[in-house]
Amino acid sequence: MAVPGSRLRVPVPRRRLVARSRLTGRLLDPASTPRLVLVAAPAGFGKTTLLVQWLGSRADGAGDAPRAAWLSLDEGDADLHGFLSHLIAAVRTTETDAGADALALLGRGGDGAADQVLASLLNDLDALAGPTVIVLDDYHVIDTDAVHGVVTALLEDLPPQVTLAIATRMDPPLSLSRLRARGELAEIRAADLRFTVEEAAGFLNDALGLALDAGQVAALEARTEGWAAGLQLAGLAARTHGGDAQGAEGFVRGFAGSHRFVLDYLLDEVLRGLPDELRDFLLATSILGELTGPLCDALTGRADGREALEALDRANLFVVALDEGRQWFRYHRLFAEALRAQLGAREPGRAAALNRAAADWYAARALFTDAIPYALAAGATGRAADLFELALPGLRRNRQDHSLRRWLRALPDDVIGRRPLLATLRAWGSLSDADLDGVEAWLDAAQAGPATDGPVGGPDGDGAFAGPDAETWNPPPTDAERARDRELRELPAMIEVYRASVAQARGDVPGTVARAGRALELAGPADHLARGAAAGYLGLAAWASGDLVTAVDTFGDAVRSLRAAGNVTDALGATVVLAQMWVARGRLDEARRLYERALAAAERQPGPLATTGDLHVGLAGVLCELGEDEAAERHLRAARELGAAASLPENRHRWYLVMAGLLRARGDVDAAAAMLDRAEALYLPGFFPDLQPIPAVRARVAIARGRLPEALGWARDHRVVADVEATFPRLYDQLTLARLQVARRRAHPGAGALGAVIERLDGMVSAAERAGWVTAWLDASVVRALAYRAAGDTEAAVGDLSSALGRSTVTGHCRLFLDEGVPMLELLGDVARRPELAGGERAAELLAIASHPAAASGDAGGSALSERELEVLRLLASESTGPEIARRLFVSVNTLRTHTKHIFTKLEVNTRRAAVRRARELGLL
Amino acid sequence: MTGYLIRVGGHLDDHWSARLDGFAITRQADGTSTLCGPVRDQAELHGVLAGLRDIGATLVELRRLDADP
Repeated sequence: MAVPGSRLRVPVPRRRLVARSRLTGRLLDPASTPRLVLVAAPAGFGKTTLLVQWLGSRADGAGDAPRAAWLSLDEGDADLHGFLSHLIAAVRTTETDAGADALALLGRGGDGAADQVLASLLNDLDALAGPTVIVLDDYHVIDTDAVHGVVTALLEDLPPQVTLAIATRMDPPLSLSRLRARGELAEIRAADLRFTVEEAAGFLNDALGLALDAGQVAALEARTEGWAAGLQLAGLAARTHGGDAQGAEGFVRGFAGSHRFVLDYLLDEVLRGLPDELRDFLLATSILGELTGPLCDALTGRADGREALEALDRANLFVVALDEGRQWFRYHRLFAEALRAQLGAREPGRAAALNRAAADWYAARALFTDAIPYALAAGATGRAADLFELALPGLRRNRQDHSLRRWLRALPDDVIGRRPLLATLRAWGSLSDADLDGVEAWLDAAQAGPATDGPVGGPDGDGAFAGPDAETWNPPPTDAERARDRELRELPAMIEVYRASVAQARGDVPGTVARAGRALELAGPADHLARGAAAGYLGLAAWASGDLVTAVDTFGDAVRSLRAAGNVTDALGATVVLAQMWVARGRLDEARRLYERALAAAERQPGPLATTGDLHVGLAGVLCELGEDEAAERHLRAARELGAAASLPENRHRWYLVMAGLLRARGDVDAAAAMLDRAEALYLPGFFPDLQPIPAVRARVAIARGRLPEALGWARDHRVVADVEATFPRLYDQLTLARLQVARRRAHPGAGALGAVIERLDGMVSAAERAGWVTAWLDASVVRALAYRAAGDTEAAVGDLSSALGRSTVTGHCRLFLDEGVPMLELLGDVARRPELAGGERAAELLAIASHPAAASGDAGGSALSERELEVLRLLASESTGPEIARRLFVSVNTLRTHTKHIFTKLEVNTRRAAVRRARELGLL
Repeated sequence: MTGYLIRVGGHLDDHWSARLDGFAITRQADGTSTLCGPVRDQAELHGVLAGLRDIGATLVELRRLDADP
């Protein structure tokens, strides 16, 4: 946008307005402030003007001037990020303190950030004293569910002293009937907005200074049906005919007797009355969304743009000023539409040339995102693509995904294919759509395509045209060109990263390693993003192959590169993977330390990160294994309170997995099995090596419950057969199968000897020992001890368990033993009774833990509210504003905020309205 | 392609045709205009309707034409 903030200003009309107190009065009902004011009517009905008048009339009232946050929407606001950033900016124009946290949260991005951003903004709005109106003008341009969803949520939780006002040509999908039923909606529609004869007379004769007689006014009002835009044009036309009753008579009669579309008839009439030069100026510049003198000159080839705009502004002809200094204007949208239609009819083909000139003017000023739509409108796709490449860094920085996708769609495949940066962007789009073949095809195009060092527009047959600046001299590269060239240099590494991700999605580990390795070779030392991603893939591949030392080293590099690239969310989120690698090495302490450090870092950020919940869950898993059930449960609850917004989709199953472990520890095996079902439903394959498959975990639970047929079904369905050489990714399955065989032998003593099972376990124990898979070694040793015991060789069983226990003294593993149930408890008893054995003390400890299962605690929620918090809660349920409540409690607004924050946390809600709802449900109110 | 007929209030000038996806405009004696044209799908039809909305035209009738003329 060329005029920063122009869409955030309450439009200031230059001309006198007709008082419309019959409408503004309806919105001033002192009994209630409506939650939503909806002004819905077709183009040109005066919706915006009415809102301006309404805000003005409230300001004239009894010192109760509302704060007005104004936002004129445009197509870019269909993008959720764009919409939220403009909404926050609009609120901040009224109160600079408000929305600071929301802005910071938005800047951090990530999935589900919108909810947090909105909750933060609502809390700041709640703290504002006095009435506030948020105006969303031109809401009909919004066509995305994401934005409708946010506005619905905004309406739902709007503090009582805040009103949302929406002007639109189309009823918005915002549950209007519910608001209407609750009496929270004030509607002004086309029928209300139509000018009455009295208002028309006031407008034509008083505001426009005409002298029409009553019959003429009535005729114009009838012919235009009170349509504000029609009346305005009619007034302008009448003025060109002298403006008095006598001069205008012919015009009024001709107009009233015509069937022509009001807009066509009147525009012709007005244009006819203008000097040729001004008429040509209007037609030529009608293609512009925003007008300023020099830009107009670039289109008309003349030098009088500034004077022409000033003349139009003075004459109230079609223009709206966009800035205080009246340098920038836009046409009334309706008139611009009509002028463009006239331009197309009078001078076919000129619109394309004008659009090209506008694109060049913006491009020469490095305003690429402004230039691109004009280049596209001109049909100059090659030029648009070149500009798109220059705009890319800015689009990414501002997270304008919507514009990015829209322009990518607007460009033909061959134009994209010739530009490596855009082709890679298309590959990225295909990757999100899981179209792996599409990814590779576009990556091939990106690698084959020529670098964009040729002349602008050359290869795409756009014809010879370039900006006036480019024609006269060969300028040094601009910042944008340097940024693009830097991206081009980094592109080969990123292409290999994308190829690695395709290989990983296809389960091709050698391919992943080869591609990621190549990416690391190609990436420059400061190319942190490519380095981080490549190291990540290498680390994951090393983990999948069981090379845990390399995995930890490489993945640690990846985390450092991500941090250097400024990506805090992903850097902290990667802890979830790194910690699991440490767990596999038997280093529960290191995993715990990493989680705790990451959580502390996450807490220093405003609001939860998209991975904060995942960190809580990961730590809960480690704590559960260590036997610290209560702490584990606290972290699970913290993750649940943060909700899905604080968890990446590929991690969502983990909560249920850890909860299953916790329930199992408490002896509630049925509930644990149910949790595993939910975990499996949420599991997203392909992101991480599947080293602990959920079906195998469920089979282990089935074995513990004695449901051997179910476990046998698992082995059959997943084709798990005894394998002499168990590789690392298969180890968990193999150890589950060995458990099943031992359990069957226990249940049916004649069910076959365990010699072969023990032999395979020998292999697994020594393989794990050699490779440093400590947790797997413990797992295998435990199963082998159980196998010996089932085979009747108690001495060997006690020996195995004793060495496993000795090691667990260091590692802290607890559930690994206790989850085995009764046979293990007996075996632990055997070890504990023989003090000469290693691990005897540890056995006694584990037995103590097993005999005192932590009491299952269910917090009803809200019970922990303090007296003061309950007092605040009762006031929150009233209509009082934040500052009013603070005054009543004799505390500062900040102190009140602290109280409300505590209440929100305890009630697991984000907003005042939700807190009141929840409190009512819990019977606290 | 499916043909549609749209009727709006007032006599629209022909120059709107380009803005309205090339729909052919016929002015009727009753003071309305009919716009006829083929669309590929519903999205395209809604584009034309949004165009009419944005120029402030009053929608009177919308009808699908069964067979291609």
